[in-house]
Amino acid sequence: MDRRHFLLLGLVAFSALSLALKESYPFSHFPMYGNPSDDVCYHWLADDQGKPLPVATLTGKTAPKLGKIIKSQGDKRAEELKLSRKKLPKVEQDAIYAELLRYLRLQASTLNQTLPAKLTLMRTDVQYEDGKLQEKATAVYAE
Amino acid sequence: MLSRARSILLAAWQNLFPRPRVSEREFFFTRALFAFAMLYFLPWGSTDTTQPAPVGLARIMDLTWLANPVAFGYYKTAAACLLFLYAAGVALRWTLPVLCFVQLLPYTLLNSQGSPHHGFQVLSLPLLALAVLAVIQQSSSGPWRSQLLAGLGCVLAGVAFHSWLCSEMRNSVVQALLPVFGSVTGWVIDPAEAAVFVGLAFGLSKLGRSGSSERYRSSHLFAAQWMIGATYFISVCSKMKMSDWGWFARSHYIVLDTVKSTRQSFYSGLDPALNIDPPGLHFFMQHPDLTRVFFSAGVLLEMMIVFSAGSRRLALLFGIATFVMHRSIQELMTLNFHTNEAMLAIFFMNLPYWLWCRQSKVAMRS
Repeated sequence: MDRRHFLLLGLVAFSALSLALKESYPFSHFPMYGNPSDDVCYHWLADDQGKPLPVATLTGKTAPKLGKIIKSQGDKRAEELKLSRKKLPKVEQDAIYAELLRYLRLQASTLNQTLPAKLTLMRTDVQYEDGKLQEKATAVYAE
Repeated sequence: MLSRARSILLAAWQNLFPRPRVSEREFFFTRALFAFAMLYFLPWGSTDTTQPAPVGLARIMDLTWLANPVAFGYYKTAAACLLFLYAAGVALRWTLPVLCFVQLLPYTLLNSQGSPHHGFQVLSLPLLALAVLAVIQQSSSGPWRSQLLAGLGCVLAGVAFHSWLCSEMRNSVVQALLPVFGSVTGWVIDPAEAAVFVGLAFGLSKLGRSGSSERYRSSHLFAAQWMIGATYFISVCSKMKMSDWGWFARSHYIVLDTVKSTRQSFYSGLDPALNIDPPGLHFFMQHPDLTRVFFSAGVLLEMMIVFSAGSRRLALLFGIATFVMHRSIQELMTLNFHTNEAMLAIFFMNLPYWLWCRQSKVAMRS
C-alpha cells in the first residue's frame, strides 16, 4: 500500500471512528448544523415573570449550552426507554429540565452569584412564514 | 473530453498528499506559534465542580480538581513549561505525549458537562497526531547536556511567562492601553506577548541545539494539516449522516439557525447590541436557491481542505478560503472560530513560510 492509499484509508477510518464515538474528547463527530430543518428552537432562562436572565453572567454557562444539555440528556433518557427523544413522556422531560435548573444553581453558587428564588425555562420556536420571521416563546418548565 | 477528465484525475491523484520540504526555521516557527496558540486559548480557570456527563479521560479520572483556582494555577504553570519545551524542540519524543495529556484535561472537563463544546478539538487533535508521530518517528535531539540546560530554561521561562500573564502588572498595562486602543487592546498586547514567547523559545532552541531529520519536519507539518483537514471532513460526513444525505437540499434552513445562534448570543448576556436580526436574513429566505449555493460552497470547502495537506499552494488557497468562510459565519451567526482561524493561519496559510522561510530559501539558492 503506498502513502496516498494509506492516508486515504486513514481518513476514512478516522472519520468512521469519530462518527461511532460521537463525543469523546478530543474525538467528536462535529454535529453542528448537521440537519437543517424548518423546525428550529432555542432555550433561555427567565425569572418567574418571564423576564430574561443573563445566564452566562450568572452561571458561566451560555444559552446554547442549555439546549445542548436538554438534547443530550433527552437522547440518553430516550435511549434508556427505547423511545425517540421527541416522544419522551412529559414527566421525563420535566425531570431533565429540573435537573438542568439544579445544575445551573450549582454553577451560580460556584461563581458566588444569586439566582432568583423561582426560575423559568423558556423555549422559543423559530419559523419563517409568509415572508416574515415568526418567533413564539413558551415556558416549558417553571419552578 | 473523457480522456481529458481522466488525465486531470490521474494528475490530481499523483499530486495528492505530497511531502512538503520544511526547513529548520519553518519547523521552529510552526512549533512556536502553535505552542503560543495553545497557551493563549487555555482557559483562565474552571467553574465546573462536577462532571455530570463524563467523556474521554473523564470516564477514568476525576478532573474536577481543576475547578480549584490554586490547583488550576499550578496546572497552567506546568502547561506553560511544557509549551516552552515543545516550542524549543526539547526532547519532543517525551514532551509531546505529556503535553498532549496535559492539554486535554480542561477541555475534557468542559465537555463533560453534558453540553459538548466544539471549539477546541481543532487544537487537541493535531496535538494528538503530533504526539503519536513523535513516539513512532524519532526526531534527533541535541547533546544531552544542552538539552538539559534548555529544558531547565524552558521551565524557568514557563513559570515567568505564566506569572506575567497572571500578574497585576499585565493587568495595569492592559488598563493603561484601554483609553488609547479601546476594544482592540488585545490586538496590541497579544502580538507583543506572542513575539516575546517566540523570541524566548528561539533562544532556548539554540541553547538546546536540537536538530531534526528532514523527514520528521515534513511529517510534523503534514500530520497537523491532515488532522485539521480531517476535523472538517468529519463534520461533512456527520452532516450527510444526520440529514440522510438531504443536507444540500435543505441547507437554506441554516438561515433559521443563524437566527437561533444570534438570539442565543443575546440571551447569554443580554447585551442589547446583540438583540438584532442576522444580516441578510430576509434576502436569504426569499432566495432559497442562492442560499443553498452559498452554504453548500462552505461544505464543499470543508470536504476538500484535507486534500490540500502537503501542497504549499493548495494549503494556502484552502487556508484563506476556509478562514474567509469562518469570518462569514461569524458575521451571520455571531459565533467566533478563533481556534480554527489560528490553526489555519499557522499550518495552512503558514505565514512564516511565505513571508520569511521561502524568501530565505530563494536567497540560499541564488
